[in-house]
Amino acid sequence: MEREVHLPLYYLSNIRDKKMEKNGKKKILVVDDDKKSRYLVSFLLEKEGFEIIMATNGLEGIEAAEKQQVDLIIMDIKMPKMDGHETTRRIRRLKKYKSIPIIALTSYVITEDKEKALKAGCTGHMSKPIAPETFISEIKKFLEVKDEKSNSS
Amino acid sequence: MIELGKIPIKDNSSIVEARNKIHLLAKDLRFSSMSATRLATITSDLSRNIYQESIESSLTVSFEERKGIFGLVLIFQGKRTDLNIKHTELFFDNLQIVSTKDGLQKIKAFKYIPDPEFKPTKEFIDMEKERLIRLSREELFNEVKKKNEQLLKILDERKKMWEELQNAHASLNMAKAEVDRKVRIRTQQFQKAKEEAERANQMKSIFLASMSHELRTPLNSIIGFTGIVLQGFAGELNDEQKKQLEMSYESAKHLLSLINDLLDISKIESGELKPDIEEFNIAELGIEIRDSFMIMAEEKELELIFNIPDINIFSDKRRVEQILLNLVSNALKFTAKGKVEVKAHKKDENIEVIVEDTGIGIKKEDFHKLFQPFVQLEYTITEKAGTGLGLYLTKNLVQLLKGRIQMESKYGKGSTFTFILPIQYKG
Repeated sequence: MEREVHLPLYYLSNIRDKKMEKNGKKKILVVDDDKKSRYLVSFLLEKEGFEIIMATNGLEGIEAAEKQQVDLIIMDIKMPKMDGHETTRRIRRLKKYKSIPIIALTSYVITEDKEKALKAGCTGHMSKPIAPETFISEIKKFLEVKDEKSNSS
Repeated sequence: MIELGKIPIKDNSSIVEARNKIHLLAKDLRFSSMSATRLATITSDLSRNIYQESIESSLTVSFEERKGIFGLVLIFQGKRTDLNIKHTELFFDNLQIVSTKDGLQKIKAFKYIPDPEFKPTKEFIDMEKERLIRLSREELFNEVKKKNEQLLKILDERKKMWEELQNAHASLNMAKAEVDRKVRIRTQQFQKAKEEAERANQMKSIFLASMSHELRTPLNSIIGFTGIVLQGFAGELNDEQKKQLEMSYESAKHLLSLINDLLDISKIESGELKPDIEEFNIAELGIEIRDSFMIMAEEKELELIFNIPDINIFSDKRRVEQILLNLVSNALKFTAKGKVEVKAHKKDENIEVIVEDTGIGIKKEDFHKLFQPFVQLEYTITEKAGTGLGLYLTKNLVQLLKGRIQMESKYGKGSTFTFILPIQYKG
């Protein structure tokens, strides 16, 4: 099952503002082999003030994740050579990425695909085509949940 | 006439036997040694003459009293002979030759017993009777030999039958081996053809899956960027730009749903799509669907009514949603005024869902075309054309969930689509 937590909106926005000030610019790693898809995602995220790191394949993604600490990873699943599942499994083996949200990006999600992504270690998934009006709020939700978790532990 | 016995004349040895028995009898009757021998020889001669394998021949021995004196009577019965019996006639006191009706001959020879005082006692008669009838050792031997021969013959026949049976069995085994071989070859051929068909089907699925991925990647970009621009994220648009971009956005989404429908159909047809069963509330699902169509209904000034009871069912939520979305979207699309109503109720172990509209309806002669792929009825073609796959996919989805779908319609009045699903899906 997808791990989605629905928090009251007022609660979310309050915390978000405080956290943004406290933690500064959040880093998001986008792993996708399609140039246009990477551009589309980064365009939306950069507008919101996130710092974007891009990787064009699985290995590059792992390398980028090792070099610097990112706060969230957007992982395309269908990639040549190393797919998103394998890349996610390898990133999860790194100590500092045990609980960072990794969001699978799949076209036309069927249940099996969802389950496969979660099994590989993804936190949640989003489907292509990206809906610009809801994309940012979904990403922020994953970040908030993660912050809640790390604060309480 | 006192009959002593009847000796069958059936082969050479029985002739010898008859001769010996008569010789002994003649001696008992006190014929002279020469007469006894003569009598025996004549018996042998006559027996041989009347004997023929195919005819029942015999010698009957009796006593007969003539003028108070007993005599011996020998009756030879059998084949007709043209034997010169002059010397024989001289030996007997009386000789009669009678031709019987059936072409046979009877020779009756009579000779007085030498002792005129002779009277056969009962003891004497019984003794002679027994001797005449009794089979000699040779006769017994012959009898046994004959039986043996018969048995050997039967045994031989049985042996032949057994051999024939063995042969038949062997050729049967050969035929069976041949049939087995053919069946084996045929089975291998079928197996091979089946594997090839399965491989081809798999290739088709893989091809379709990767093809649809390749098609979707650029399409996702088109939809994504068009969405961004439409939202005004990249700067304000004037009304005409917005209108045209919306058309482009709609077209891209239409293309995407066509690809998705095709992929679903191919998966259902190849048996790859397995329902994902979970418990969910059908009324809640109804509310979600109503919400997503509310704007469209309001724009067309149509009444959109959902009347679904609060029932939990075990089925594939996403697929049930897809079925309902298709039917409601069709109903709204083809209804210009009036209402679209979705009702549901429990029916035994099933749930019956009815989607009713007051739209253009369907002509009776077109009913059968309705659930076919890529069929769009002339009068249903609107500006917002469907994929031509919607109802075909819907039917396939209903069947995937072990249900059935049917339709009733009056042209110009409206249509009613009814689908029935088991409340508890059983695979």
